Amino acid sequence: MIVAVASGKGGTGKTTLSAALADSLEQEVTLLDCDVEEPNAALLLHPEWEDRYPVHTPVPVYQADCCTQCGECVSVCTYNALAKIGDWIMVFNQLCHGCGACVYFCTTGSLSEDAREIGSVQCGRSGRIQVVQGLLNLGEVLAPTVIKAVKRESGGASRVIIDCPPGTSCPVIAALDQVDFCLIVAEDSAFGLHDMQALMEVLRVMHVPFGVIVNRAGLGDGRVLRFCRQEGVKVLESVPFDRQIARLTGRGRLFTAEIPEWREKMRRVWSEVEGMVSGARAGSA
Amino acid sequence: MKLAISAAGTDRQAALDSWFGRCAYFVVCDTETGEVQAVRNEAGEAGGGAGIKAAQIVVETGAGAVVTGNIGPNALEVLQQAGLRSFVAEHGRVEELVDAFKAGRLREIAAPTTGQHGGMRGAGRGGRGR
Repeated sequence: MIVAVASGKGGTGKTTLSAALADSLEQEVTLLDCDVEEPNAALLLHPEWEDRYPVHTPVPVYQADCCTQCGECVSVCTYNALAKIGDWIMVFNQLCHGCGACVYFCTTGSLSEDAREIGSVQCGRSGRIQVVQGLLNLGEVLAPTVIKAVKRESGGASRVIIDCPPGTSCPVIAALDQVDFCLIVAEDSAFGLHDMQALMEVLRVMHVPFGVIVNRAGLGDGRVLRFCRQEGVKVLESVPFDRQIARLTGRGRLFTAEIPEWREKMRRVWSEVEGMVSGARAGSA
Repeated sequence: MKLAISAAGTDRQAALDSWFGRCAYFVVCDTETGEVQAVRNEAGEAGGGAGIKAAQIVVETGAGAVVTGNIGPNALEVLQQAGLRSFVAEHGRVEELVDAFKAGRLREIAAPTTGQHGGMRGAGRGGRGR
């Protein structure tokens, strides 16, 4: 089972709850930190890193000798990463999404593909938890490419937790692709509700079943719970706005590891999700 | 010489559009004959790389220089590669800007006046691709 932990809004506690969930399971589990613009699950899980390798994206390389300046490469590029100036083609690597269209449509062989490093994948272990994190290099924008590389590391693992990036755009879509369930970590605020609703829209389009964990519960006016009740969205747990939990997290310690009852609660969330996923599978079969 | 001005409208009275890549039009004026011709900036709707596309549109008009408010690094690189000079203005109408250019009152841009995505006007590129 692959469970994504996402939120829409940033800073609601995705990483804390992803790590807490992984820490609470009694079996082997793989945690994929797909927030590649600032991966930080390792701050709570303290893995020993075993391997690190670069992630590349293809970029076009221009050779002017045979070019007829037909301009096809420039016109097929959705991202305007190529420009034709006089008898020369300029390539802007930072804007290239690596789709390969320019090379494909070049009839004179003036464009070839080269690989450009844009980030890395790091693998390690913390007890029963296999930790994989992606890191996008500074100034790069192709987060989905690095996220896909991180996800390939999960192989056929039977329990996978994906710590998603914030938002609802391409990086989140890449992280959510092919997951069995999404745990939405919601914050009880106007922004929290708004961004949760946006995420739910995405999940419905992607046919990903979901449930909600309210984090720092008691901080707001209950609008998230009211919304979930109205919409019939399952609320799986509420983690209170609690000084002890905040203090532990601030020191890089997991509240599940220090307060045993929370391990129990997180295990129950996992088995409830398992039930919902097998129910959904049976329903669609 | 032809002078391309990023503008909100299509004639001599059009106001300067302060963003190069995502301006509405380029009004191209012949500084000798006073002839004016407007080109719609199709790059304005581009998802990304608007500056690069806009710069190519300007180069194709045959202009030798550009007047705009803000221009990013990629657009500037294209213009420089094509041998165009770029000048900055804060505001004004096309005819006033042509006069200011002829009188040498406009400052030439040597470095980009804004970063990438400068002209997205808060359209959601809030740093982390949300």
